[in-house]
Amino acid sequence: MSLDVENLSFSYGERRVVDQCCFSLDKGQIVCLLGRNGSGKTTLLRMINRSLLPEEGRITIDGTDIRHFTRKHLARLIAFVPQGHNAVFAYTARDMTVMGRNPHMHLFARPSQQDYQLAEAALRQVGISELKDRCYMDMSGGERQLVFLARALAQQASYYLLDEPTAHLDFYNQHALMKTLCQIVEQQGSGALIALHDPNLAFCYADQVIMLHQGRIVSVGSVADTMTSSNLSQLYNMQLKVVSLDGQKMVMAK
Amino acid sequence: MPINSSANRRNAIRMVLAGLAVLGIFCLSMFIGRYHIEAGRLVQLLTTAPDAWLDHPDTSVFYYIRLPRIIMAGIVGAGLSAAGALFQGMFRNPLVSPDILGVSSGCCLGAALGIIISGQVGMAYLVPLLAFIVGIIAMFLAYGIAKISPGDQVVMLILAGIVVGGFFEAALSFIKYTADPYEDLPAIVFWIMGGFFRANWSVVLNLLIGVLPCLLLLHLLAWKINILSLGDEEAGSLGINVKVFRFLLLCLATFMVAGCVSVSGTIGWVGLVVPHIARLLSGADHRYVMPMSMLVGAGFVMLMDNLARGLTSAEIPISILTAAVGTPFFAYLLIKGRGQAWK
Amino acid sequence: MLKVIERRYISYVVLIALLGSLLLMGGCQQTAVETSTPDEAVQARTIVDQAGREVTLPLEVNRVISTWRPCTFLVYAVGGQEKLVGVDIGSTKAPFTTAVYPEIADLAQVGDKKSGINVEEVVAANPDVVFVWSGKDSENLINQLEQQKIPAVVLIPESADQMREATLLIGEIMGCSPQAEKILKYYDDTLALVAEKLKEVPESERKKVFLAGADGFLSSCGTDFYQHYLIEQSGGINVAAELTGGWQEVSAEQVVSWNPDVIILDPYCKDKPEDAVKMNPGLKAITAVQAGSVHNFPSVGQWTFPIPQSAMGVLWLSEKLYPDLYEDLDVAAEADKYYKDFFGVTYSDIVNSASANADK
Repeated sequence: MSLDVENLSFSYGERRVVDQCCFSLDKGQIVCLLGRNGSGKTTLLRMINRSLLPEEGRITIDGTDIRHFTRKHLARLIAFVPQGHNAVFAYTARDMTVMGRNPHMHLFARPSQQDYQLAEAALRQVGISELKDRCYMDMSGGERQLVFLARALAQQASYYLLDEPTAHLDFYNQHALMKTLCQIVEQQGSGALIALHDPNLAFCYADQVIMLHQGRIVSVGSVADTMTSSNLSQLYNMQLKVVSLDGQKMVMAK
Repeated sequence: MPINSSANRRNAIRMVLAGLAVLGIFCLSMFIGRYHIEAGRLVQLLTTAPDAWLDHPDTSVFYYIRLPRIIMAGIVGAGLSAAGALFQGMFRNPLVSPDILGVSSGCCLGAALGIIISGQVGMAYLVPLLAFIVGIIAMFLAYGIAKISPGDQVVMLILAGIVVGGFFEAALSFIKYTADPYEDLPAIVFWIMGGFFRANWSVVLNLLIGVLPCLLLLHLLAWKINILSLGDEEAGSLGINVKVFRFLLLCLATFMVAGCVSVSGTIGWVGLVVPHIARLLSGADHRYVMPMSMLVGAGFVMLMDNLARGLTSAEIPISILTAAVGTPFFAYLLIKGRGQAWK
Repeated sequence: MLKVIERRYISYVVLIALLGSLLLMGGCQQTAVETSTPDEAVQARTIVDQAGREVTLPLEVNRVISTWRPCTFLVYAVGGQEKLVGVDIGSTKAPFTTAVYPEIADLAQVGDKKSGINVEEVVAANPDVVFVWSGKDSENLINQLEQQKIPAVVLIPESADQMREATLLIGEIMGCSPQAEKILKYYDDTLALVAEKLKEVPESERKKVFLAGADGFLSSCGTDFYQHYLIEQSGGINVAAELTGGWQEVSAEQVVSWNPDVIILDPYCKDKPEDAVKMNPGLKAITAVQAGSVHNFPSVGQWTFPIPQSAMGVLWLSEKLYPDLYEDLDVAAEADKYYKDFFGVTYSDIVNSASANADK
């Protein structure tokens, strides 16, 4: 039971942004994608979400190429939390969240009472149920990010793809979000692939780490194996040091 | 639909009020016109059997001229407004109107061709038919151009629509330039001006058959339009096949708009302004915007047509009225910043 | 499974759309069947109008509606103005129509060619017959009138022959045949008189005329408008004869190369010749401009319309082209006499009342 990425490549014009990537995402695991800006993290996630078609290679879920799923079926397997969103219409958080129920509804259906209950439960789970009637456009970037997460939860998919979900969050909410995610992965037995900027969050919450440099995977494996001083220094192209404090590892700049 | 939130209840109440207002306007319209029919007489005649009053001069004006015209104005208003709401939502753009894919230009070109090739008779069905067909062709052309060009599909669609619309308008101008100045040219100019004076029961019947199912489908799909309005990528990850769905909705809206324009000519501003008014009344959610647009559109156009046929002894071109009332109202919305449904 | 269901819905939608369009076409064809049976009036007669339609009319027609200006002038020409119960918009204010029959100002204005006809207004006036133009946009109006059991007569007064036909038809319908014949006879006599005088002018000495048209000084019309016929009957040569499609814009260079001897401004031409020359100094090279042979066509009486009164237009224009031929004839006096005879008011009185109204 896993999502497998095989020899995935993608180019924008001549520039190859993802090059021969291979890895697998198991259920019940949180996999963190680390890399500098422009290393291809978002492109990789978008290919897995089928927003971009890979130039080479393929993505399979339990052995089936994702290209063979209908869009709706795929949405029941993969939930995507985008990096940002240029909102146009003033929907409430509740209405936004309930849209996650779409893959489970037929063409002419509208969200039922039950769908709304699921949406509200999702909002509760990410800790913003008091915001449910607020207009989504009046929210801060961090609050919006949480609404997106709630929407992904309501989608009840097997795999979660998150593109820098902590980018706009304060310190508390960064950890709150990651903890919620851990809970969900544990409860639902789903898998999560998260692009992250802060390697320290990976130390706290990741089961596996994938390091991406110029489109290539330079290191993949458990936190202990991959998150070494030398690997991280190479990845970010700066002098970094992994230290241990009360048994919790963390990385700091020298 | 859950009625557990106060916003939903408020919207439901407003919808009922809007429905009542449209009904009121409809009833009012029956008493407006240059031919004076006494209210009491009308009610008395309406309550008797149709065969008893069809031959009566008072009621034949009412039945053959006024009533189909009111209904036609209502349907066309609802159709254009619903299409406008759909296009604005789908293209995430407040400036988009149903003409954006060149449908109206196509209809005008088709009508002009119809006028040129039809003889003294046959105008009645050849012209709307050709207008309808060429309007649909315009949309498919725009869609085809967008489809084969690289880049953002929404932007490409709008640009392709402008291209197709421009070309069809040029073709129309050429036809007007070469048209017979006695028979064809005045008829073309007159047709394009737009209005509901061509109303009769067979037009109304065609509109009901063509437009009502589209309105119903749009209403049923309104929630999906919410998702589509998030943008292609998000809508895709929420399980919507954006390409197929957008094409389907475009076909639906084009079918409806071409149907309306092919019988009434171009009616300006309705498809652009009415959805904004609807959003003002019911927020951003297309589940409410869609029916509200239909109601407001029907009421607005019926009201404007009352002025067009009742204000002076000659007809006032309806587009003058819709623009004269629509644009200041639009400006008011902009100044007051009341378009909060938009970012 | 779900994929299948979704596809099925999509095919439903397409099916409904197709069905709808089929019905639309089917519905359209029904219109032809839905014509009402003519009212079996006790005393009725059948006439054939200029579109070749058979129309059943009451023997005596006392209430008439004219839907566009030239037709209203035709009704006046046969002396039937007092039977009008509704007219086009402009005619209630035109100097000629109001001076001859002031009551016209109070009649129902039913619309015109440009903005369409308000059918309810027509029905409210309760006419015996409605005169309708023959554009392709009038079919709808005719159908609507038929539904209201109001006979519509199509008139096509565009060429001189059609104008004669239309005048006689209106005279017959309205019971004004004697005056219709009389005014047509005057028309024919006047044109014959002019033709007789023109025999003295050889083809090579005929004046070249540029008619500055309704779309501005730099617009004109070719053979398909009645104005061309007027110029030819007056002994002029229309330099713009090659144009087709009604009023067309022409370039200043084109006008210079035509080099007309006389420039006539159509009554509807809003430009002043001085302004046009100021804007396009190149026009000074034209013979007509140098010689000062630029004339405004009289705006009162609509002499450029295809109506019998256009005989006065031919007379006026011919006199402007060849003044020497008309030394024995005072055109202004002739116009006064003509209007006095046929309409009871002299032409100068109409012109004076028009300018008095304009001054107000």
